[in-house]
Amino acid sequence: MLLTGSTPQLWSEASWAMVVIVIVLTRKWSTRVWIVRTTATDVRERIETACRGLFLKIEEPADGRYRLTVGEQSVDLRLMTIGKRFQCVLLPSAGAHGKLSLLVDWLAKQYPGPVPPVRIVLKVR
Amino acid sequence: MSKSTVQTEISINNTPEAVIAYVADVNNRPLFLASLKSVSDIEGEPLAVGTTWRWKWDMLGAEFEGSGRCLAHDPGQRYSFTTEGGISSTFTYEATATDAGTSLTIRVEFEAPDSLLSRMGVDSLLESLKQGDAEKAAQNLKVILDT
Repeated sequence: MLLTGSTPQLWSEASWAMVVIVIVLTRKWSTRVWIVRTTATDVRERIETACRGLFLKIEEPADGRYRLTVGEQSVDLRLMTIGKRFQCVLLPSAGAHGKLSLLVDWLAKQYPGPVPPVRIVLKVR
Repeated sequence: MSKSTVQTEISINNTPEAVIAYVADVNNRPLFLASLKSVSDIEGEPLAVGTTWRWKWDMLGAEFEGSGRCLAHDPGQRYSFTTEGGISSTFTYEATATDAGTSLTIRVEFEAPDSLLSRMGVDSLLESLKQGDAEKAAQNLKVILDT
């Protein structure tokens, strides 16, 4: 379809196609890529703690690359340091084993977003 | 005080000893209780009666804080703890051996101050949230502990 139009139409259609691709990729990756403000050691220790609690086998075949195994299924989780205090965590894709989903849910609780939650401490009178 | 109870049951392909030992460890709890954000300040052995801890619970985007205390731990049979902090509750996990492994019953009794419920108008919502949390916790435990 892109090849049959005149030059302006071709550019317009190609631009829209690019926009759609960027939106799809952004939506897909935004749930898989986290930027957290902490040290690599902190992230690594938390992931290892969760893996112990979830009976997930964890290996580090390369620096910053973790292979998580449950049963016959293995997925990779990557950790990259950005500057001194930020870590980029590339999570396994959605639809992985339930234990991997629980790991991701648990990590989300460890590293809440930038908006502070409403904190309530109830006192019984 | 307004008192309510929710209960759920699930079959897990593992031994009752393994199931109760897992739920009894305070450190494991945020892994299977979706709304439990964290536990901290654990005083005592994580599996022992009388052990206390601090907790943070997320409900509808608000964060509640309080303390917890282990009430009973019969290995392979029963584990129970209570939470305090305005909405007080008692969680009881009971395991029974079956041909498939373990039948686990989770019962949550909770009571919120009437002043809070009337102010917020959330008594039925609170009950459905607790029921949902209990069912989700049971499913998560099955995911974690099924062999």
